[in-house]
Amino acid sequence: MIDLNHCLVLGACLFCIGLYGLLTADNTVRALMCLELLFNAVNINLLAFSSFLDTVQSRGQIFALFVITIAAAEAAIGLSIVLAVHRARGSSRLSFLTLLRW
Amino acid sequence: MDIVFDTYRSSLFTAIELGVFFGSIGVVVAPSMIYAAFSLGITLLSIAFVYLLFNADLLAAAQVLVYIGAINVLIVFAIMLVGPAPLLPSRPLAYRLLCFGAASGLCLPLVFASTEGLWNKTKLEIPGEDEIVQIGIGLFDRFLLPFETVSLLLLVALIGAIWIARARPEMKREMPSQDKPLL
Repeated sequence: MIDLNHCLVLGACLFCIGLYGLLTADNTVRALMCLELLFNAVNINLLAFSSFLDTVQSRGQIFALFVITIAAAEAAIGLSIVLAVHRARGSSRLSFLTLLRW
Repeated sequence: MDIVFDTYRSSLFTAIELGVFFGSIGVVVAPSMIYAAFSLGITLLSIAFVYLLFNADLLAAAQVLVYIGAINVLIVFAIMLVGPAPLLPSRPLAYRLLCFGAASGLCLPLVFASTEGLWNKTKLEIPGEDEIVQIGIGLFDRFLLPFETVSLLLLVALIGAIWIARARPEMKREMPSQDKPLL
């Protein structure tokens, strides 16, 4: 039987794995992939609450649709920044993202 | 018959959960970027199956279309364009241990809070026939302003992405060096 606790634990584990990957990534593309994991963890929580507690209006699903849209915009912007940095610096390492530092 | 169906459903859910878990670990630890991207695809597909088990058909379809069809393919294209990263020393072990401590220090309270009795609901209600109709009504009635705002944001973000990623001839390839100040 699927229960709500189980789904919330799944979302929490996914969020923490993504957070660890985001903190330790040294490649910008990998950091973006871990960011997608964070968005998905949030979406799992929203959908779990929606389908266990609010099946009439499904407001959690509407919120998840918004999150997916924001994630698509973020991925497009992030990957274009990766391409621009790769063109300027010849590498996609996160530690080379220093153009605006000082 | 119900018990058989419940057992089938819960074992299916466990298998899908294992797919999500190991797929996400593969994204973090895979040595090659392209393997990490494929692992991300497995994770996203498993999450789409989780949505199907939640009876959220529309979101499962959107997950497959947007995440796997658009974002993951975009990531693979970016990896192919950027090329292999040069072999450089990765982060020091102490930093990674600190990050692991931070992530697990967040994970444990979250898991404890999630397994609390307040969220102990086991009854997954079967939605009515008009669930997608309800989502559409919600999008155009109560959430109309966020819906329009998010469409504007998507347009601005895509135009901005094209603007950032376009080729500029005046931009020179320049490796950062320690002795001279960066731009």
